[in-house]
Amino acid sequence: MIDWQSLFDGIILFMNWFNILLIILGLFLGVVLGAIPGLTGSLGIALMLPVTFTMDPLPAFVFLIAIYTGGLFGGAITAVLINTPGSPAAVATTLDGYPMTQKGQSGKALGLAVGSSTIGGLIGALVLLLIIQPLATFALKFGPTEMFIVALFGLTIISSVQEGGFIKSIFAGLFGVLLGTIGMTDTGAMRGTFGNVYLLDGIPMIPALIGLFAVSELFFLADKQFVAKNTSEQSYMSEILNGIKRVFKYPFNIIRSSAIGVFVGALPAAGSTIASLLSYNEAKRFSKKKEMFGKGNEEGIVAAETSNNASEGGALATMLVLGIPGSASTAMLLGAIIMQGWVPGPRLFIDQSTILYGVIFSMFVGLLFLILVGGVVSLGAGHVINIPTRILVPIIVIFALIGAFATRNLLFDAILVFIFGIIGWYLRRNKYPIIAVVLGLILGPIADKELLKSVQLHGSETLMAFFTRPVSLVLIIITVLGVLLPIIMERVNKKKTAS
Amino acid sequence: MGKLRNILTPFVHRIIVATSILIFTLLYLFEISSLKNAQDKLLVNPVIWIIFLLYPIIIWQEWREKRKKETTHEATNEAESEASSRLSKKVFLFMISTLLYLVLMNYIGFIISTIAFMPFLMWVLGTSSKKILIILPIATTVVLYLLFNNLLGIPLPQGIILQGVL
Repeated sequence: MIDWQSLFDGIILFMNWFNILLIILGLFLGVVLGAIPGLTGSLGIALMLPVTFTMDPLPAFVFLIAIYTGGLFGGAITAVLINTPGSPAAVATTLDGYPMTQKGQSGKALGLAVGSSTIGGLIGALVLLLIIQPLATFALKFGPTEMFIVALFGLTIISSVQEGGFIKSIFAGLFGVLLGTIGMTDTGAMRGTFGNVYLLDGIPMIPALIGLFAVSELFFLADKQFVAKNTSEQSYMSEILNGIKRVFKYPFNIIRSSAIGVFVGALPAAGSTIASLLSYNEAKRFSKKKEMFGKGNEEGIVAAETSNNASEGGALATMLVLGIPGSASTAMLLGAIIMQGWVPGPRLFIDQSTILYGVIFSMFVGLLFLILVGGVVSLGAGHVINIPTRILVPIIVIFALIGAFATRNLLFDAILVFIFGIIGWYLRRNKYPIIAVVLGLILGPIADKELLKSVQLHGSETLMAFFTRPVSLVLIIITVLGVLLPIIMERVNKKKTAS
Repeated sequence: MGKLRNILTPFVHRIIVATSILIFTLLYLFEISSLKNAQDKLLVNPVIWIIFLLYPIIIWQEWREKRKKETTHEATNEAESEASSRLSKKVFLFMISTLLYLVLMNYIGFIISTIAFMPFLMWVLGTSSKKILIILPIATTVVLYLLFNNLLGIPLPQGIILQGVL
């Protein structure tokens, strides 16, 4: 199951002080950004992508994944302290975290959150370590027809985006696909570049992501005085430690929530938010003290936080093996892979197994450090929220623009950040989901390339090939279900609420 | 300005988004019409036609939603959503100054343009303390310059005018 030689080589490659330092720095950044509502760990990854451009692949991914890990926990801090989930994945944490704060137990709640995040993350990383090799070997059997359907399957995530409705999501997604197909084609023709030589390689991913996610958010924040209102400064180390210890009182909850987290995380359509909500529901269903949920039950926090960090392992497996990003963070990590000159897909893990094993090992190390970094940040959380947007926004916008410039040393890329910032801001204002545009932008070119290869391989029998190859057929069925299920579920829910 | 605000209701804004995407698609279709190899349009062509098909459905959906709102909620909610759809002066100045910053950076370089842009943006967003308006931009510029130029070896723009002078 595990290629032990590559794993040991990867561990040896990882073992140096610089990588440990990067983990601590990444975790710190992720936790802080994740803790600020409106800002997320994915913003941290977006901002730091250009910085990793000059790094070797291993330290680059170690750093970015540490931000990812930190970001998944960070949302819990404000969720517990001020009833505001720092990131969508922490929505379920507010349900019992804030009532605990109201009862004067915020330290314990934060301890529970950091403890269960760590354990959930560790289980997720372990599953990733165990399944990635067989998954990659299986995925290697995929030809261009299968890869095309996989890309289409990834695009079906769009149909499950709730914001704005089904048709608008598809419309935005197709807009993203068109943007993604700009550039030189595999046959050497210029497509959709409108004569701009900077677009020959296509729309660069990093400026597009920074613009759509980070800068559009800054335009929204400009109208607010503070990122989040009201603060609560707490300093109670022993309470936090007590909370961490209490996590171990719920072993079944941890196992169940981790399993849900990894599984849902691996599905491209879902992600950490759905994972934590599902786990919370299940914890409530299985609990003996159902009536205590929503009133400050420790089990609720453990379920939500274990699950959202466990989803990281599942999401990374899908992203690394199939090249499908299930969330904004993994989309940005995929951008980092492309930026390193690697080609996402099943071959990636076979070709770069040593480095990727090193990265997975770094996740274990990072999660152990999460207790320390998460605890420290929790203590000083109040101060970060106190920074007014009039100071925060100008600093972040300059960092975002210069960061994008630095990826190719082109001012054009900084201008793209601005343009995509405006596009993202306007789309969001009008209830168009930007995650749909981003998915189209990333998966569009893959679908285009694989379709071209399929046609070149099968000629006039391409259409038949899609249905006669067994893996392809199964994938088609899954894809169709992926589109139809959310629509059916929505109808059923509507009927239920109506009745 | 007031008249423009009256015209630009949330409904109109949503129509603008859909229509802008449609116009982009039309331009894209026109741009690729010169491509001779059909293989270059394998995926693009169906995508374009689906966008054309979806456009009228979206317009109809938006229209239906507008009608629904008009009949159910009436004035208060409408006024609220209109207020939220307005572009505030702050955000407008933020956008314009950012664009100007990027254009200026090309000519006068990173250092001078950042030292000019950052205090302006901070002031627009409501910073009044002169100390902060002077110290923070200088500190940020120096940190970023050192980080990129010295630590990461990525030269930041010097500007066409000042190239070779600094």
